[in-house]
Amino acid sequence: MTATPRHEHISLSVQSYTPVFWQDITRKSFMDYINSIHSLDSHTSKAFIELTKADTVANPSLYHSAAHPQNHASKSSLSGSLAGSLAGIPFGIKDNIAVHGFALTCGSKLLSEFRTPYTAHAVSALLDEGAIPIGKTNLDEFGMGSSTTQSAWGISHNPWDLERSAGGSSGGSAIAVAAGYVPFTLGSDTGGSVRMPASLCGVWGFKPSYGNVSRYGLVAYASSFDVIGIIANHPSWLTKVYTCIAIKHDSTLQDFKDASVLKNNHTLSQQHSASQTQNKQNTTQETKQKGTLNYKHTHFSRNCKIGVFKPTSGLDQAHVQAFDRAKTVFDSMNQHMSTLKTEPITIRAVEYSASVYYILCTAEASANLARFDGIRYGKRDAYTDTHQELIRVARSRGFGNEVILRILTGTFVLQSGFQDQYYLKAQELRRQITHELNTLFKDYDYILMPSFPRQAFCFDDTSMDSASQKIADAYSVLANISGIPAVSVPLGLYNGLPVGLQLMAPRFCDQQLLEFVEQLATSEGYHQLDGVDAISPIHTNFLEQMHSLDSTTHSTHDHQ
Amino acid sequence: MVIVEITIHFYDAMNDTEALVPISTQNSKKIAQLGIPTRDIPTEVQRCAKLANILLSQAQAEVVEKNFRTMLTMFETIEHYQLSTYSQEPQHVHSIRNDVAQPYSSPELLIGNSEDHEHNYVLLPNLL
Repeated sequence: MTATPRHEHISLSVQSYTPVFWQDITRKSFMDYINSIHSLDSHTSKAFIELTKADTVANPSLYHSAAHPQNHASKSSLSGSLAGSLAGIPFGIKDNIAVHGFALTCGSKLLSEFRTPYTAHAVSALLDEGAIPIGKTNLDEFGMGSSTTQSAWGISHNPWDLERSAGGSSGGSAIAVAAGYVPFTLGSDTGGSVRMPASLCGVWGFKPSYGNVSRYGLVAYASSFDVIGIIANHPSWLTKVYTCIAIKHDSTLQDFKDASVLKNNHTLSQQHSASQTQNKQNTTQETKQKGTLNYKHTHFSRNCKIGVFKPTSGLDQAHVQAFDRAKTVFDSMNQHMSTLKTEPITIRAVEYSASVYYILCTAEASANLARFDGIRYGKRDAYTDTHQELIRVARSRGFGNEVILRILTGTFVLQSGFQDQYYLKAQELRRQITHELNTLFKDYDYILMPSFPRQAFCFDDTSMDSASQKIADAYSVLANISGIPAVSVPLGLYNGLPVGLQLMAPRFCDQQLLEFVEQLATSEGYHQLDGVDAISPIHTNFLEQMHSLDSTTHSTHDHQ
Repeated sequence: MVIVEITIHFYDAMNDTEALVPISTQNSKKIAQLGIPTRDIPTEVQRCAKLANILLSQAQAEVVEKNFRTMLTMFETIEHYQLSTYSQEPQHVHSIRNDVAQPYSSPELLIGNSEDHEHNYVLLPNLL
């Protein structure tokens, strides 16, 4: 069997990650790939906390047997696991999502010794399609942060400039894609944690509607906001992966092991479509074939209206220009659509969205993180006389400062003396924000706005301290507060760094949104943007490393 | 009938903080022992740390107090929001409030209603 040159497969194009690559390689060459990632990543961006071991990766069926012991017989061979729509595709997973056999530290010292005994629903779904998990990616502790500097395992660095932040909290997942190690990763999006790092690293980030993907196996931070999201180097990956992990209408709720998934979401999205203006006709049809997703019609032939929310202040120059770039792309798409209109809109909710989000998410975090007490979960590393003291010592030594701050803030806003002032007001404002967005979606198909108002910032940038990062979350948290889907769209480079905006759609219109961004990514105007097809310096290094490995392999073959 | 009962549960969860975040029940009991909340930041940080079973070193306390103060400053943007502004709420919230007195009268209370699905924002069982 002739080995296919690896560099032909690990490159920019979507088609490059084919099952052939993994079918043809040997166990040794697979580990060369893993070792290449390790040697480059550990000295540069530090995307991965843990990379897989040879014994498990060389035989992906081990994952299947772990995730689905009842199906062990049918998926007991490597070839069997390479039959799915994602057969042999490597991917990374944020370290707050459970994968049997891997650690599950959530970036916290408290869970440094914890290895999960089960696999998250979303990961199981990908394993069923033959995808191969190669490692756990770094994150802000328990997903609390916007810079991936709050991890107990060290800071992750932006692959475009190692002196800058990759964003967070799914910074490791965004880096792994931007560095070209894998075509897609899973992250979690509680307040923009997928879209924000995707924007800063120049890749695509998708937050599905709340209730469309099971949270089973995702360590809870703020349960009414948490969603498993996808980061990828092309929107077609978002669609493929989302199709695998989204809830299926023919499954039972027990299959998802998550009470928040909604079985009737398809009906709800149809209701929204029906409520749109009558002269709009969506002719997009999707055809699902077993194991693959095949869109018969990816061209929109309907009227499409996009509300553009461009903040009047707080944006850096790159994001001001990003709106012009988006207009260029929309104009280009207009050639293929009967009408694509954009209109400026205002959203009052951004004035208080960050406050609402941080009150509610810290309140929920203070409850969710109560289980990390050194007894139920977490390391206990000190002898104490009483169990109360044991809990206090374990939590105090295990949690980082940002986690402690959020737990204390959550405890504060839930105190009986302050509930009316903070928590109950925030709940009501959450309803108002949802209502305001739903009202806008009666007139607009999509809303365009920043996912983060700044490009990747330097670690020592005092203007982007912890408090400023929280305030800057005002745009990204809107989708989490109201449970709607959103995609962070990279729009090329500005001064050598990525810039992007996000598109939001009505709740449960995830498929329509993904189709739209695929259309956007294939438009002529998109590929004319400055730097939109550029790759990060770390990605270039990785390709060179794979080239040299390949040359060595060929040279060895020649000698033989 | 079963669906209506579940809906009432959702209503309760959305409007009863104790039900939404069970730990607050425990906290409330502890608060009764610790006294009335104040706006003295160092005192509040220590009080909340005690409630949350966290011991703060002097250095930690200083960092947390500084950031805690910043958080409260950020929250000021909604402190001016008056609870009396119910008129600005979505219409279906009014409906739900009114229907509580007559819980079986409104079709809007059915789960799955297009305007009502945010009722699923209840705190869910621990999953880890």
